[in-house]
Amino acid sequence: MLNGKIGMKNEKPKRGMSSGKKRKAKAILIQEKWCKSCGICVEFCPGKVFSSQPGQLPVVTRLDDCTVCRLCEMRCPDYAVSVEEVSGL
Amino acid sequence: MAKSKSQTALLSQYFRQQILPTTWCTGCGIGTIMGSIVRAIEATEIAPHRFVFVTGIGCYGPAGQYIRISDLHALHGRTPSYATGLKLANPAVYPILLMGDGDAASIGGNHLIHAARRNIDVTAIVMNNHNYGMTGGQYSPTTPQQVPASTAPYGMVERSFDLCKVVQAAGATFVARTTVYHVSQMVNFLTRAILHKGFSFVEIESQCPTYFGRFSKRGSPIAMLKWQKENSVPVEKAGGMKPEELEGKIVTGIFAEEKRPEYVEDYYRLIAKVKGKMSVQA
Amino acid sequence: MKGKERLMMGNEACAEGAIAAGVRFFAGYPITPASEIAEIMSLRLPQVGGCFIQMEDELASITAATGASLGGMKAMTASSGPGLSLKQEGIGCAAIMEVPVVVINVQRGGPGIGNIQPSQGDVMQARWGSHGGPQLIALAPSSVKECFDLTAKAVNLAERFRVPVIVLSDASVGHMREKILVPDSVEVVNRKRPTVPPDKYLSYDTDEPDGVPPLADLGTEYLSHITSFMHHKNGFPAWTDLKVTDALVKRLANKILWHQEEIIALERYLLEDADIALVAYGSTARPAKAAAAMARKKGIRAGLLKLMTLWPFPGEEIRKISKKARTLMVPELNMGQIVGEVERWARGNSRVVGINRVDGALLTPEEILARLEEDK
Repeated sequence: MLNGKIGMKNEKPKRGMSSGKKRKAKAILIQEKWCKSCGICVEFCPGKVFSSQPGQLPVVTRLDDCTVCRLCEMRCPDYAVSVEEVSGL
Repeated sequence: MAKSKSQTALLSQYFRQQILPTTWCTGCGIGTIMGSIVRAIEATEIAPHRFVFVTGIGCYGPAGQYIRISDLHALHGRTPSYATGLKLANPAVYPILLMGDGDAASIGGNHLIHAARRNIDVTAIVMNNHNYGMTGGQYSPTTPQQVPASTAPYGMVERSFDLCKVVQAAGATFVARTTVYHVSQMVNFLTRAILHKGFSFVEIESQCPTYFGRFSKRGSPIAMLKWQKENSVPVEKAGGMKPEELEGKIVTGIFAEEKRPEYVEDYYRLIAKVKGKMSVQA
Repeated sequence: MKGKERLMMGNEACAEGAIAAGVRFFAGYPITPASEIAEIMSLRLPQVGGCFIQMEDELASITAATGASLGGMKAMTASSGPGLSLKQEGIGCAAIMEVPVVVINVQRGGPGIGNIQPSQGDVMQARWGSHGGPQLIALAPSSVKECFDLTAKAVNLAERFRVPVIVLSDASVGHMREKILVPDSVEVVNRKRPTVPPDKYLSYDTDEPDGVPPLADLGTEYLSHITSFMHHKNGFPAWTDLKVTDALVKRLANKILWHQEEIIALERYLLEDADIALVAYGSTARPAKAAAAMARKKGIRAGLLKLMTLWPFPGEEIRKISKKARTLMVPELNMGQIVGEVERWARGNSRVVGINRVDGALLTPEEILARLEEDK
């Protein structure tokens, strides 16, 4: 259903990383048809995963820093952000 | 609490995606609040069909159309009384009242305080954006003094309500305030409010960038959320602050969470006692 | 008919008629001369497993009754003129949301606080009081028995047509006491329920041939969207959709107007050869009937058409009698409200005259007879 920009693929999980504690995003999808470019997800992301100005669609530039907190999903007034998590970590 | 569902999963389960995007302004708080309500409903693990959004008149009024939950979108200000009838007739329903500050505190003020007084088991949510957004930004009972509005071109003369204090004084047994910025807290409070047996009241400081944002000069959606973040004071901290320090601040937190007799339960207990005992002459 | 004879006040008969027809929810606010209805409902409803609540005002009463009806309980409220004025938005809202609900109006003198004497001042308000002028049903009892029967009928009509129904009683009928036979049971009509599975249900399925959509209770697996905006079949606001709005407004009126044979209740007395036909309702019906009988003894061919349904107005019946009678006389406890409807439907076929009393007392048979005698 969602079509939009896809963030960079994340690298393979490093050996020795504590399993089950650190979450990683596989992709962050922006539903362009719904996004009103308010900039809220960009501004308030704790990991500074996005970069763009209000008035522009959010661009994912630091997918590796996404901890799947899902605050962007929760804050988006238009339900236009979806974080796909890497499973099995 | 169970691990939160992803947006994708929630969209699929709860939202009428074919009619998105919403008609709300860019950066309006309503969309975020509705998303939090859905997450709260999910967290309660109560079957979604048991919920009914009882909504008033305002931008949030047609919110129910985006979500696969029954809704009753009726008269301005009367949501607490529609919900009172609904809940009495069918105690198994979970009415969630969606109101704005004008709807709840102005035209609906009387119904709000009586529903609180009865401690009827419904969840009342006020999206407080400090004006009547739908009709163009007129002042409401929660517009701060001196801030202009379309009907206060020289600045608001009247004082404004502290809605949480009003409903708490009226008898509400769960009273909380949060902001759209504090979205995790919002989901938490809403979940607890729904699960609370009794009249639950959650006031949500919400942004109306199109009207109040411009009149108050609080600015863009982002600026208004930053304002919410910077001007919120948790109730635990507010207790130790002077009134001047709290001037213009939003005190957040849970102000009341009490277990008291609930109206519908009390009334049905009466029915059980009286049923079948006919009197010949009234 | 099996039942029990009881001495009853009109207001009590309204309450008992409602309960007999299945009302199990009442929300009201105190107002003379209707308060007895609330008091009796507060006593009787828990006895039959129902709910009574005294709401904080008249607006909360009509809206709570509407909410209860949507929750699945047959619901009623009661008031007098000042309260009916307050309820108008709620009544219109119930009309467009198509919620069965009964409103008893025990009329008193107005406008304003007026007095607590009988009047018939709200009969036009019952039709046109709510903005947008939704087509409602209104019944007018003239006796304690009719308070019982017509309230039961009102409940059934509300369920049948998914519409608010107003019962226009007044301080005289409401407070008089008469011995009536309270039947053990009455005919009970229940709202149409969906026959489709939940996933196929539409809140306002307009494909029903009688124009009345099935109604599921709120809070069940039948997802329901009820709105007082102009709306689509699915219950969502139609905003500026011209076709949908046109169809909705017309269907709301026609579901009533095309089924008048189920709604109109009348009594004809000595009308077949009447030169002068009295057209009366409520508290003027019995004095009018007595006057007609007295007139006959004096050789005046008078008759009476008693209207027990005021809205939709039984215009066809008026048209019929206007072709035979020279004069139609309309006794009313107001400045002339139904007389305008009578004149409209008589279309000049007969002379139409009002007999009016607005001092708070009832029209007497002698007063009406005097007017019959004057008419030559």
